[in-house]
Amino acid sequence: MPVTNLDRFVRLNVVGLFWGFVVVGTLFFLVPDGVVAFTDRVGAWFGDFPQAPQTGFRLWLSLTTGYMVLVSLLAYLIQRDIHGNRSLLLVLAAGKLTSSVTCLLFYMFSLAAFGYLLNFLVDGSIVLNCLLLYRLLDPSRRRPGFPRWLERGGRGRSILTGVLATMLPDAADEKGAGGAESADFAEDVLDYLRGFGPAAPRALVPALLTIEYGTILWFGTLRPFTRLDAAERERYLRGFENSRFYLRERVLFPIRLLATTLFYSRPEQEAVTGYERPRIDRSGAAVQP
Amino acid sequence: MNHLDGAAATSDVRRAVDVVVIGTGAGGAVAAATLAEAGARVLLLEEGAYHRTEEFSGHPPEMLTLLYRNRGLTATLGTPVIGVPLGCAVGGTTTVNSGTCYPAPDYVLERWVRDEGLGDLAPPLMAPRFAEVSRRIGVTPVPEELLGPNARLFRKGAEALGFAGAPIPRNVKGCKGTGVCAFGCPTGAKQSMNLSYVPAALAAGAELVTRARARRLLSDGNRIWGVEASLLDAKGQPTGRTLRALARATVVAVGAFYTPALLRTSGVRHPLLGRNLRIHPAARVGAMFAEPVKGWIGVPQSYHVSQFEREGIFIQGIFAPPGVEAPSIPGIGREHRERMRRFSHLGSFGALISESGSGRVVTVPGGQPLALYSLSPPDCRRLARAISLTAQVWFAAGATEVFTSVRSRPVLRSMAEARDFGDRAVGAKYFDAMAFHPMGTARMSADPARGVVDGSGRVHGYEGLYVADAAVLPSSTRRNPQLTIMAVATKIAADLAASG
Repeated sequence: MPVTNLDRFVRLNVVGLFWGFVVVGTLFFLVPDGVVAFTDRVGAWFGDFPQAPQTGFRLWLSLTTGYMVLVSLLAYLIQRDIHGNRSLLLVLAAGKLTSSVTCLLFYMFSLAAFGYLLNFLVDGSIVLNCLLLYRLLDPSRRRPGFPRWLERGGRGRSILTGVLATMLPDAADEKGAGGAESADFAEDVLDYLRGFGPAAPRALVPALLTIEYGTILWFGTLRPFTRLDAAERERYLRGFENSRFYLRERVLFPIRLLATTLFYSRPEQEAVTGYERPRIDRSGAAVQP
Repeated sequence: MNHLDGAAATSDVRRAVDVVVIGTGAGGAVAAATLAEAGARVLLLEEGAYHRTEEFSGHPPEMLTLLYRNRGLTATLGTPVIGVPLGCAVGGTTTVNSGTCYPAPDYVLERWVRDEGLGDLAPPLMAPRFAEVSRRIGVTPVPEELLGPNARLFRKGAEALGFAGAPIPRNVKGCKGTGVCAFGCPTGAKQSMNLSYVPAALAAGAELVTRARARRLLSDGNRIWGVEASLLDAKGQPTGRTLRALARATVVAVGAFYTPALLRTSGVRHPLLGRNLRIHPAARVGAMFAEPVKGWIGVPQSYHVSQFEREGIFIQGIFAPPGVEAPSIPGIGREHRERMRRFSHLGSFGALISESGSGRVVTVPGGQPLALYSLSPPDCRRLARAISLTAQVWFAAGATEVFTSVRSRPVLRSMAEARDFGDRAVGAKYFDAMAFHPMGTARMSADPARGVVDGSGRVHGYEGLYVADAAVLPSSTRRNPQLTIMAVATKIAADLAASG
């Protein structure tokens, strides 16, 4: 799909938002009182605004930091695939709208501090910007729901291939039996998922991310799944299968279900198991009218 | 032939008939045939396609795509998540079930009479209906030569333990024991609705429209006068064309999940609609033997142990090709591979319970049903006991290890472990359960406060609206419900025909 000037504009715009959120969020986290004092000083240029009170209670700072991380991540995801993640612009707009409107209400009914007014204006502008970008992007240009991440060469694809090769027999040592790695079995799995709808493979993304980086939590190593050796991978995935933590077990379950079903339905794998497909004798078969 | 494929329709379709029946499964097909044979002008709608026997290859992934809703991945939401595969083709789930046909036991029917005021469902009145339905679809016990080694081995174990059991009665004519009943009978022996009641309905003058997804019922206040459906293309996507059928009576028979959703989407209200969901939770219990079993030979669901039916436990044969059995075989990587390489040594039976708890079906935006169901603690105990009993039979038959479908204890290695398994509590989240018999979400009762439909299947408080599928069953049938659904649908359709 050719990249248009509009695409470049939208992406640049969202990259700008991303860095803006990162910088402001970091400043707030590091020097919250400094940011508030600076805002007050800026306000003094425009008029006689009361000073914002300072607080030593940091719960609000935690919440603010969480919010800034969230909106930064949203902007990051949007600029990665502006057509595919177009709908996230609405999520970002919703967050910013809440921030803008609440500041306006505080400005009107609580304290007429310049910081409230400034945030109302800045976040309100971001809302309008996001809605404009959403409107500018042509939904029909969205690629058919398939995340780049899972395409050949993508990181997701290598995680999936690794999971499948660990879970199912590697056919390297089986004469002509075609194992999980040898015939790009991942493509078969993704193809089957696409049968539910072009976006269905996206459902794998959270599970694959959990498997890839869950090593930190469940395997005591900073190496992600794809950097473990074969024996470690098997031991690590067995931990998912046998986990007493239901959600962890459920991470692997759908992949295991799909992969084992498809893999062992291949004629060559059926032969490996010793299964003999029924000879279907249709003589005298009843048929529909 | 009076069959219109919605994918082939070149314009919107309009019909005016006496009765429109939505769904061609065990309820809808029987209702349509009964009404058409009584002289009514009947229009029969089906969301899936009308496949020919030659299309049934017996190959699981192909057939899951062709014949199942959501490729067989329909499930309930709760603890645990339970897969409930549903058919989506002419014949509904009867096209993909194992063909097991039991009448509801008398004690269940008597309870329906006593608790729900359903005098017409009394055993003496239901017996001729069961007999008639059984005659039409050829219900007969599996003969010895088709039992298969899986069932024979299990029977040996059951007899060693003194458990009562018998070959299962099935709806077949000329079964050759191909062994892939759950993927559409490739020889046309199974008398599923696509080969029995639907052709009978068509022969009696009914019209069938396939690839027509009912969107909403047409109503004027509490009077229902037909249905509007979207016509679908070969991939199941709406073509933009619609079918609008006007009818004096509308019979909804799209199953215990979809019936309440369609009724709700159409504005039908009743406090019990969608509630009382029963599914007969089950677990696959596999067993490895030192000698080859070749469990795929013969009829997969050919033998049952009935000894514990009064406890709500039913044990039935279940065997599938490697791709379907593989997910239930424990292990990852080499361990799993080694077990799969010994697939020919595998035996497999299903432990099924008649539950005391229930779930519900809610409707999500878009009109789709969402089944909410969690195993209650008593049902966890019952299912664990059912698995334990099945494992004991396997060990009595000589198994070396048994796979429980319970994650906290996936493999048992001795009779002592099998017995111990039944004595220990198992949390709901540990079961890898499945279910095949959703029912009860528009339950039948003479009392409008206790049921959604009356004894004739008419929705309480509405005119011209009937339900005739598993949704009307007031409680668990204790056994596979196919035959009971058909007999009750016969009664509902006969009452409707008699009402003029």
